[in-house]
Amino acid sequence: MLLQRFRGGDREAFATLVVRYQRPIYNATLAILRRPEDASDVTQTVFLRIVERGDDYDPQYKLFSWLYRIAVNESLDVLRRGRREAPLDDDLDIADADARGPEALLSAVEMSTRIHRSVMSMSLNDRVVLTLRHFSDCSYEQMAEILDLDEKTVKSRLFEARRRLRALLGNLGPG
Amino acid sequence: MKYVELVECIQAVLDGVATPDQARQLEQQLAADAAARAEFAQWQHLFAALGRQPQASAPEGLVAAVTAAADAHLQIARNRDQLLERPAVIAYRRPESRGQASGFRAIFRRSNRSDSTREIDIMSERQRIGFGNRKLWAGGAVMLLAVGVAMIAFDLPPRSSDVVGTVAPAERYRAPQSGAEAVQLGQPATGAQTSIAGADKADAAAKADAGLKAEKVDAGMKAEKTDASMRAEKVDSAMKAEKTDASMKAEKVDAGIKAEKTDASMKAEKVDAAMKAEKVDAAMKAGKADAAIKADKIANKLDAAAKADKIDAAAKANKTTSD
Repeated sequence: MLLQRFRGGDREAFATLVVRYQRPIYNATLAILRRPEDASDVTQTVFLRIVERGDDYDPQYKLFSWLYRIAVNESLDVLRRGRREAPLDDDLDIADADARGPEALLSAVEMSTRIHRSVMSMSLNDRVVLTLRHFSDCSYEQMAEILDLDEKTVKSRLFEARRRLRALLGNLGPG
Repeated sequence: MKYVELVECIQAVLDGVATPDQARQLEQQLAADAAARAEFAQWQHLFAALGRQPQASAPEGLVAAVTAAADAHLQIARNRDQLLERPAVIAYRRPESRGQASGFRAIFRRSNRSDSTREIDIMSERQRIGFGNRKLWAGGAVMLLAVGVAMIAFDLPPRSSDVVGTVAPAERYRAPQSGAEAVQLGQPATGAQTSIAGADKADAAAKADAGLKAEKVDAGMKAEKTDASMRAEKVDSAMKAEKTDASMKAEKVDAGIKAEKTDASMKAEKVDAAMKAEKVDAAMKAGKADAAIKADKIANKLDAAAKADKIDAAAKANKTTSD
């Protein structure tokens, strides 16, 4: 709908579209590239692709699946052009940080940092599937669309990625 | 249940995509196995932590940067389209069946413009086409009228009956030529003698000079030709002399070769003769040797016979004495 409005000449619709999708797109590109400036550039490129190739959008797919697919492909192109993946800095936004107590906050920050570092240390394929499933809440079907894979392959990749992540993290708590 | 199957069931259940069978199997396993319960708790903790994992914020100003970049991109694209835009109408087609609107139908290129904009263009194009045709017809009629008026006014083109008389070739104008008397050669160019008045005489003198120069040029050319022919003859004679020398040399070479051949044959004959003489000598020597051998044999035979005679005589003498 937003895209149709934008193609009809509504500039506000484009701004709304960018506001809505900038964070997940940026995080998806960041998970692949691990370099904030590269992720920022690719995120801009993704939205400019909408301007350039708005006519290519197939309405049978969800808009964010299309955007994610562009984001993944653009990020992979950046890596193919020779930019190495960079380690991420540890600046993370902790949701509802003020609402938690100091100990709980410390525990949450520690856990987030462990998971973040562990995920970012994994292979590109593992990072992508984990990010799409757990950080962007994509279904198997959407992941299959974005990555141009069948659902069985997506399921298998995700299963193995989680097992590897679990092995990296070790004991996560009581139990 | 194997560990891999257990983890598969746990992930499916926590992911919300477990089949009823998987859910039931996991429930039974958790009820019966404490280790399975501990494993399930660990996975549950991981899924919860992943779900709570904070997302990085997009850089500040990204929205403004993207919208500004999009505006700039659209502006550039608009300018480019204006610069490179080709005529939208690529052909006109007259409606084939009756009952359609008069005029031509325009065939348009594919463009990115919306249908409504394109429809407006089609309508305005039809209007332009109709107006253009009317102007074309009016202009043609005015031109035809102007040509007719010009033909009547200037009587163009003239007819054959308008021409009277005979057509004769035009005579070329020839200026009076100066004669030979105007030129005096062999006289020194004194003031009195060169006081030939008038342009005719000057012309005559100039012509005479020109004639002399031409004759000189001719003579020079002839001399050059003669020189050239003489050079050619020299070249020919030199070539002939060279050929003669070459033929003489060849003859000499032939004679030398023949002489050598003769010498060689003579030498060969001498060698043959010498060989024959040697053979004869050898034969003679062999004959002599044979003769000597024969002589020796004969002498030996004679010696043996003499000895035998002596022995016989001695024997006879002994017998005689003994008797």
